[in-house]
Amino acid sequence: MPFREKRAWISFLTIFIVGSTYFIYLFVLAHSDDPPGFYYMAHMALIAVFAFVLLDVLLHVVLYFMSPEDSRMPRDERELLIDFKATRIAFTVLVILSMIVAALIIHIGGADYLKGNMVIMMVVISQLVKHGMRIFYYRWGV
Amino acid sequence: MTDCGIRNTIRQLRADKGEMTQQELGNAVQVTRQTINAIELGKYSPSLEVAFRIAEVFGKPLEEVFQYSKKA
Repeated sequence: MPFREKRAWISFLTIFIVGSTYFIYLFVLAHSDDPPGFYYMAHMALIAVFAFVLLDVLLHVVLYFMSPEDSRMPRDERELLIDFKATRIAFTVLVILSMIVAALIIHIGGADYLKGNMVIMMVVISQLVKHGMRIFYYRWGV
Repeated sequence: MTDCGIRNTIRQLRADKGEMTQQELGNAVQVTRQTINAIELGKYSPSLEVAFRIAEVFGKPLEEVFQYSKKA
């Protein structure tokens, strides 16, 4: 598997694992008898971001030591094109989700933590699409 | 997505050049081995610059390395 495809897998799986754990935990908390307040939720969001950064950096460092020569090689034109196309699709997804989330907030409303987490989920999904598309293009051509 | 309409003879030219590896060709034209593989399989059309560099490595004119055919 190419070095940069491994990087895409690391980012995809890290976001998926941290993101799904966070949102499942959040869902359980929100449906409990005594839902926690905004500051507790914000604290949880910060922990999730910290966990993601830590896991992502750690796995990339391990990958670097496993293949130091590949990691030093600059991206070539095909890899740049893959990143460009994946980012473009992820941006489109982000715009569509932004509109949906904005409509939901305006028409349905909800608690502040819910609104904030809808925005976080929007970013998480668009990043999953980005890294998923990178993997797709590396596997099946661009 | 996998058929770009541009054929090439890179595999044959590598064999003619003493079984030059994809990695060696990649190093010579400053792209990764995976990109050379994708070009050979027709999964990626290189830029003109990379196409010229590949032709230069084999000492052949561009049209001997890459051929364009209209898709039906």
